[in-house]
Amino acid sequence: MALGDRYATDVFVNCPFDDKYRATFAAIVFSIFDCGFRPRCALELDDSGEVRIEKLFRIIESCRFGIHDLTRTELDAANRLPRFNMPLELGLFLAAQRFGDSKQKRKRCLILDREPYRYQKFISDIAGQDIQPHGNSAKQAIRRVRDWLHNHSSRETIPSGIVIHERYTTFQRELPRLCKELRLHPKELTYKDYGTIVSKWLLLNA
Amino acid sequence: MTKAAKRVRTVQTPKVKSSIPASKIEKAIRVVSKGVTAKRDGGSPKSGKPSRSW
Repeated sequence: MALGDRYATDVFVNCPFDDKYRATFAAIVFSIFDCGFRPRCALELDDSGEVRIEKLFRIIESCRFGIHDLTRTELDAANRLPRFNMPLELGLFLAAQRFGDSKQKRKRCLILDREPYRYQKFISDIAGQDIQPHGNSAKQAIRRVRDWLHNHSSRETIPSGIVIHERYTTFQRELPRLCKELRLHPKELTYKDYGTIVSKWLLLNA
Repeated sequence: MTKAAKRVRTVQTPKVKSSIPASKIEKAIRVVSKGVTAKRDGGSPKSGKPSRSW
């Protein structure tokens, strides 16, 4: 498959999409945009005409960078079973990096969890990867994402984590009134709406 | 950020875009950011106290 010229800027975000994680996810998406990259994730997949795993293959293939958050290890409250989608998508990403062509071998991967070394208890095979804790804090998540993108790209224009967090705080303060102007509710913002608003806001508040 | 750094810094547009027209989003951002700026400068914001929740 021919890849577009966005390979070097696209960042696959593999994380929970539940309400508890919403604030961390919002911070990570903002941080990726503010670093000059483009977030990609499974929430793009609303076209029912393609098998879900095929869509995931396509997104993973088109992203040089991948952020994988393994925070959500709890059993589902309703059926008492764990969710395996995130470890599966991490495995797909690592396999593409390992067995893919020269372009895929350039992939870089950041693994996030809420506590340091907790992963050793449930997925110890990933030892040796870049694994960072964020403590369920938006500020820490922003810093981890920013520092990692800065380390693995040649960009000299990436602001520091504190600067991004300050901008994120300003954005969060303005978001409820932005939503009101757009006749949206902040709690019901879709991924498409949120990403577009963040991107435009950063362009106008550079 | 230095002038040189600011000049080359870019913001990517999302892969999947909102169905809300870009011009409408830009207008809302300008209205809200203008209100915040006025408040910071001691003027009156366009609307009431902002919430920190998403």
